[in-house]
Amino acid sequence: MDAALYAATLLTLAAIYAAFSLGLNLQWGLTGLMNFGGLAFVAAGAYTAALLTAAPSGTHVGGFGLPWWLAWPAGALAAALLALPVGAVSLRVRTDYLAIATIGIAEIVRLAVRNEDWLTGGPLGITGIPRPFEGLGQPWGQLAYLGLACAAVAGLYALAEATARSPFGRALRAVRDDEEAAKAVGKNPARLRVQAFVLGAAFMGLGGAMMAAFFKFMSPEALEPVTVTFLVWVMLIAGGSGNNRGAVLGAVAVWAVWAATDWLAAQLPGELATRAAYVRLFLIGLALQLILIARPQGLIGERIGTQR
Amino acid sequence: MTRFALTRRTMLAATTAAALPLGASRAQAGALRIGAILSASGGLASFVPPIRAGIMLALNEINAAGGVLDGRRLELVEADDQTNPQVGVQVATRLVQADAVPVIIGPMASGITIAVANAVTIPAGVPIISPSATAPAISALADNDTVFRTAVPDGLQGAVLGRITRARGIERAAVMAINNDYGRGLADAFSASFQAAGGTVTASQNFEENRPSYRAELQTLAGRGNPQALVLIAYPASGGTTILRNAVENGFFSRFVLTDGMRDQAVVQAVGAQALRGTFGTAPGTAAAPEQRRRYEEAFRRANPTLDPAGAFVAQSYDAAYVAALAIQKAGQAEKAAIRAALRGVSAPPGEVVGPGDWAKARQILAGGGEVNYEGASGPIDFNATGDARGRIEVWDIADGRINTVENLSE
Repeated sequence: MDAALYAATLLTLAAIYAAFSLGLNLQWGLTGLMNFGGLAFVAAGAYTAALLTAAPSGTHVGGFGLPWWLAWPAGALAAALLALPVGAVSLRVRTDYLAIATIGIAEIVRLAVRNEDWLTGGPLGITGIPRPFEGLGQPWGQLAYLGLACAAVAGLYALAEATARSPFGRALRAVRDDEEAAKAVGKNPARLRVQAFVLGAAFMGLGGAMMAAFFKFMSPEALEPVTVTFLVWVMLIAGGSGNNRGAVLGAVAVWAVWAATDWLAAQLPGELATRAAYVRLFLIGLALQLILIARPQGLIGERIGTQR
Repeated sequence: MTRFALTRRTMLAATTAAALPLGASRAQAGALRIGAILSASGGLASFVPPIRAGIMLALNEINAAGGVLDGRRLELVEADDQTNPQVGVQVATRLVQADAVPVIIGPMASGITIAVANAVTIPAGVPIISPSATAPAISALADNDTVFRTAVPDGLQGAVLGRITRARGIERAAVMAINNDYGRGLADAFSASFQAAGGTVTASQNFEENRPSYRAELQTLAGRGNPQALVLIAYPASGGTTILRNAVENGFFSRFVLTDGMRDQAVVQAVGAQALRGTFGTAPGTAAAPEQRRRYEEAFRRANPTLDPAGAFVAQSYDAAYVAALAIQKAGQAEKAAIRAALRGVSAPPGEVVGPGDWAKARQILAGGGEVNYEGASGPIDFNATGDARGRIEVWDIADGRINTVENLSE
């Protein structure tokens, strides 16, 4: 039973990351947008949902006590609204500029969250965020939340698949692979890019809302570029960018490796366990290098045409 | 046939004879695993080696003096939260659900402690004892009495700091605090207490870590309201030493008031004893009864000649491991609810006072059904209703290039 609960926690975290990586896949895998600011959109979703669902408090705005099924879509919407101006400004020019702009916006959001105490509670964070189904008690509440997270990811996956197969998705690929050709057949690349960027950001926002509810606590410490932005890149590239199943698989596989190395490191005696912490980080980087060299398309590469 | 039977009987007897003590010794030797979540990598990594040494010192002393319960050895299952709440939640789940530890020491950072408690240990009912989480918010957790800390909350240290700063003749002070829960909480508590004592905070600034220079911030602070001293709430490596250097080199400030984060001999060496003359500060919980403290420090130095027993939260870590072991002994079993129920009793009066290195005595009293009151290396512990250690605050100053304890104040 306990081992099952451990697996449930790992899978819940993997599901949250799967939402991030599906969003990034829409942006990078499908459209070729280099978004190094996933953190900003995760933060927007997480804080919006947290403020809407938390109990009223004097240390931050609100605490509106709304139910999660209202707050989670609001989190996704907030992330989309943040992405809209960023994308609209930076996507008119070359896509490289998006990478710079997103790094900037991520830093701005991170520092704003840390310093605007009236809004976010500053470094003290937001406590008392309710988690859906926690009233069911220990084993069932956690399993029910896993079910909800999986259902949300399944919904996102279905939406991402539908997008990828639609004429819109084909147009996005066309923009990615040959912008001039897309223009020649009358597509507007800038507009398509903004649409894909905003949709991907909404996915990340929903993932952020799921994350805040899972931790029941949100603070700036949870928003670190390494674990929120770049780990997602590792997952997507490992799984196979351009392929939605690859995005989900990458999230699960990387979390599984992460958890397995954590468990292995714990079996080592004291002093060695400390060093193992750094070896783990090194191994994750090494694994990414090996994947890039040996299998640049990831575990499951992109499949175009025969989508099945 | 007869011979065979005889042989078989002999064999059986021999096997039984061998198995009996073997079984008994295995019951004794079966290690009892307790968990620890430390930030072995990431932003707090530099604090970890002495803190781990503190925990291991307590466990080794206990194991050398006969272990817990019926002679079982305590073994530490360690997890690294990478100074990150997501990872903290994941490793805490592993400790609770896969390793099934009945009690956890840690996590270290306040934010991670809150995340881990909310997401994992409160629902599971596993007690956690943080040696170093000082944010006031932790007292307010709806935790079913599962969250304890041997660290003293920041509110108390700030209150004492405000009082003594005013008492030392400083009327106007500028405050510069690291921009996290530690810095903010302490700065607020200091300002409230300093103003209540009749002082004026001329200006207050939160700084971001690891900047190459803090001259701009210091110039702003020094230029407003003619402050007599700079109250600096920081850590040496992530900006504190740089700020002191900048302030001294440019003559922005000549008098400094520091907190536990900066109570480090390396700071004096880096900035210079001359420049830091007249500097004073506070620190929580380095103020146990002197003989308890001495026994702890001697044992620590013997075991770890290169580490500092007075380092940040090291004594608190030792005490966290010690009260966890006492609670297991008192509970009579390594079961989470029983340990949780026993924690407060072993840390506070009534009961016979035991201290660092008294394990054999404490175990005997508890085995005989008696009560103990652990007076630790960091203070009296005495967990209160919200699971916080009752604190004493040390006042220290820098004279002749050394950090000296001036006095110990209680609440």
